[in-house]
Order: sequence, then C-alpha cells, then structure tokens
Amino acid sequence: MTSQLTITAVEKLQSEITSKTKTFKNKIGIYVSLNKTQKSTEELLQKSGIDTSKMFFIDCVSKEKVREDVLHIPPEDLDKLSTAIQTFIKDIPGEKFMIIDALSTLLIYNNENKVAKFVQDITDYASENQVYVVAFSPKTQGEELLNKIFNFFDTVEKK
Amino acid sequence: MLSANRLILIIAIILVICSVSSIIVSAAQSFNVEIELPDSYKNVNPGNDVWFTIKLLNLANTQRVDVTLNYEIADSNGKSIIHNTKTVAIETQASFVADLKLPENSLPGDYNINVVVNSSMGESTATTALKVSASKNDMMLYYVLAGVIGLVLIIFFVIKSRPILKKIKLKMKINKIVKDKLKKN
Repeated sequence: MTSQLTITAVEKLQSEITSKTKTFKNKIGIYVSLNKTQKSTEELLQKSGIDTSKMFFIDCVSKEKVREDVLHIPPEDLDKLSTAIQTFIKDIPGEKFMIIDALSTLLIYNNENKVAKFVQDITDYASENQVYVVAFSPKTQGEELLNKIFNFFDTVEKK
Repeated sequence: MLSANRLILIIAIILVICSVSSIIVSAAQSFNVEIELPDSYKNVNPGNDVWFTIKLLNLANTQRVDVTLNYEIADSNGKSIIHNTKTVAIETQASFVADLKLPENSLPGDYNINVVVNSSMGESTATTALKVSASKNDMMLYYVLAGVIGLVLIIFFVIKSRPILKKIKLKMKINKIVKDKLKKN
C-alpha cells in the first residue's frame, strides 16, 4: 500500500478527487471531508458516477447530524479525528482507501505542528494497516505545512 | 569453767537473736507497692487525666515512717513524659489516689505508670501498663482528611476518564456504523 499527497490548483481540486476516487472502484473507502459537507461531497461523487454506498464519511464541516452513518467531528479536534480514522481503518475489513479533502483546511483551526503530527500519525497507521491514503491540498494554501509533511507520504504529486 | 560455758551460750544466743532481728529489719525495709488502675483509665486519649491508686503495705509493721512517692508515666522506651512527687506518712498500710495529666501531644502507643517509693528503709517500685489512643478529634480529622482525599481522587478520576469514555463511545459508534453499512452491502 502507499500514500500520496496531491497538490493542485483550487479549481482542479474536485476533478482530481473524483478521478482519483474512481480508481478505487469496488474498494471500501473512508472520506474525510474538510472542505465541503458530506451531503455536497456525496452528491458530487455520485454525479460523477461513483458508488458511494461503500464509503464512510467523516464530515468536519457541518455540525448537524442528518444521517446515522455519518460522523461529524469538528476540525479543531484532531485527537478525535485521528481516533475516528484509526477506528474506521481497524473496523473495516479487507482492502480500503482513504481520501482527505483537503489537508490545508486544518490549518484554519490548528497550528502547523499539530497538523503535521496528525498527518504523521494517520499516514503511519494507514501504512501499518495497508490502507491507500490520498490527501489533497490546494496549491496556494499552507505551503509551510506542505513542506513539513512531504516526507510522510510515499509520493507527492503537483498538478 | 562453767562460767565460760555460760558465756559461750550467752554469746551464741545473742548472735542468733541478732541474726533473726537482722532478717526482720531487712524484710521491713521494703514496701509492698501496688498500683490499681481502673479499667476506664487503661486506654486514654492525649490530654486526659489518668487516675490511679497507689497501695502501700509497710511490711515491717513497726512505726510510722515518711515515704516519698515518685510516680510517672513513661513511654515504651522508658522516657518519662509526666511525673509527680508526694510525701506521705505511713504506719502499716495506706492507699493514695494520684493523677497525672497526659500531655496533649502524646503519641498513641504503649506507656507505663511507674511508682517508686523511697523511705529511710529503702526503695520499692511498681509498674502497670497503660495505652494511649489517638484522640477522637484526631480521628475525626483523619476521617475528614480521608474523605476529602477520596473526593479529590474521584473528581480527578472522573475528569481523567472523561476523554477515555468519549473515545470508547466514539469507537463503539464507528463500529456500529461499519457493521450496519457492511450488512446493507
């Protein structure tokens, strides 16, 4: 398994996420949504023909609980977010992937070092449990953070 | 010759009389001393009075003599923590009521009441055991202190365990989400 950081222009972000998610076809996925609500993310993915029935959403944008199967975690609570991701990884059997959309959003609520530590914990845990991780970040945001977390990913793609 | 024999006999009789007399005097030199400590004073708290009776028996049973009573309470190491002295006259036998006030700072433990009787005929002693317990106020303080410490520990435990409980709750919730979703698929 591997981990990948994709840095792309803001306007291309959604299309990159969609095309990457499509590559995982029948695998079970965890989607950490930091930019959009679960509802709008799911709608966008479904519009692109992606089956979201096998996806577990962690919604860090909306606080309102709409669906029982969606977790709402405030983006400033990185400990809780980390625990939730690790529990999903542990509980979901078989091959799985994880999308983080988008890392730099965490900088609005947390300092760089905390976010860097969070990324390190998540990529380490994912690597130990053979989970494919793809984290996205817009080009213009959080350059300092991106410099700190480059090394935690197996590959870094700049588009 | 006869006179000499009689002299020897007289000397012998005198010696025997002197010897017996010496034994009697020796016996008379010691007093029989007893301490009577009521049950209610066998276990006391610091700061309390300890009342007891000193019983003296003049074994010589001859004449009235002045005696000095030295009495004290000593700890298990023999260190006197309070003492008193009294001079009394005694003929054949007598009882004296004495009291000693335990210092407030006496530590709980085993103590002795020691009585020493001094007179021109010599010295006699007696000892009896006494127990000092922690005072009720001290015990109350301990209970209050233990209660406060217990309460602080409970509060500390509750505060400390809250994040752990939250984590467990979150994990259980995720476990349910995963199970339900996988069942549907």
